[in-house]
Amino acid sequence: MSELRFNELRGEQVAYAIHRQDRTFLPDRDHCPLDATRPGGPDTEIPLPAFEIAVFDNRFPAFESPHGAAEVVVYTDDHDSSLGALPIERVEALMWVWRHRYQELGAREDVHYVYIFENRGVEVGVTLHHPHGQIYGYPFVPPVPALELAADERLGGCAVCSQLERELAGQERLLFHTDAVAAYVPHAARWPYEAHLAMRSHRPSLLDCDAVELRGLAEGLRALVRGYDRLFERPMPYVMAVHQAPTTGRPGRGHLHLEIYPPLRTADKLKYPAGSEQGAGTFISDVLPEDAADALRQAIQRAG
Amino acid sequence: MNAKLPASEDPAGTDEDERGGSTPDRQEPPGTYGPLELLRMHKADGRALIVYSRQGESE
Repeated sequence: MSELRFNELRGEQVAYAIHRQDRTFLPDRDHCPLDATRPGGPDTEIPLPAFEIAVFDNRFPAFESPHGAAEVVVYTDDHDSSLGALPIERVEALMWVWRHRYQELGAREDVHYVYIFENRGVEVGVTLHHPHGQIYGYPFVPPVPALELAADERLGGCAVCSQLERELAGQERLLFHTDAVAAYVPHAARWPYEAHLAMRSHRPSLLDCDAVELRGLAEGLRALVRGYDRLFERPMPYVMAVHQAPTTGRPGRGHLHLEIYPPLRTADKLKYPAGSEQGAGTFISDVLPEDAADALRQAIQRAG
Repeated sequence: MNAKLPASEDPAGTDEDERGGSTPDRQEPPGTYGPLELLRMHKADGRALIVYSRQGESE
């Protein structure tokens, strides 16, 4: 069982999940727990010979009932695939899975914020290479989404809508846009090649999106991650964060968007959150967002 | 003050026939998961597992 402690100096919760020290760490190819279970092979988390998308309670949860939730979302039974390599129909299906998990977890009294995310690559701490993401059901609204909601209050309207309008008008950091979504490098990106993918219409959560918008979200996400893999001609490590409405409190707050934080500043150099970032809370970036957007636009075009 | 989301059309934990050992609990009709079918199972240690597939397709 995890323990939450409140850090008074930072004004934030810290979760202690000491059982996670023993979680599976980079197993060899033949012992991946996220593979399908092959006849005669080792048991895995999915006791079926094949599957499309599987979701299960994390064996090493950071949060668990009645104080939240932690789930694993396996995108495919193909160990060597990736989000960008999946057929668009599978990525579209994943959007529906996210939507279903958002609703089901969000209905729980102990879940105040459903946070969908993916860590990709050892550079961001991945312990299993099989294509997968995770969902945390936090028993509180965590600080980053809370800051976004505070920005709405400060601006007197939706901060993401405002950002979207600015990026669509300016174009210089815009990566692409469709009827459903727009992708852009934000004006004040923290990471060198950070990009956001936002719903064009004000949609607080996945539950507010119709089938056409979910398809558009899938197409936008796939195009973006495929472009990332072409940027440095290598699989791009990243953290992908899905931000949407809290599942408690006043409804209608928030604006569904994805934020992707790749830690690379060149093909072989990492941007480390170090002294200024960790100790002072101020990111120092080596790449201007406008230059990053230009490079990413070209990479997305190369990816087709 | 704190409004919760409405419960899903297929709320978890309502199975009358829950069994251990990764046994399928039930095949559910489509609901908030659009074109998908889902199959709920429980693993031997009690953890929930849901397998989603597009309707009419299987690998």
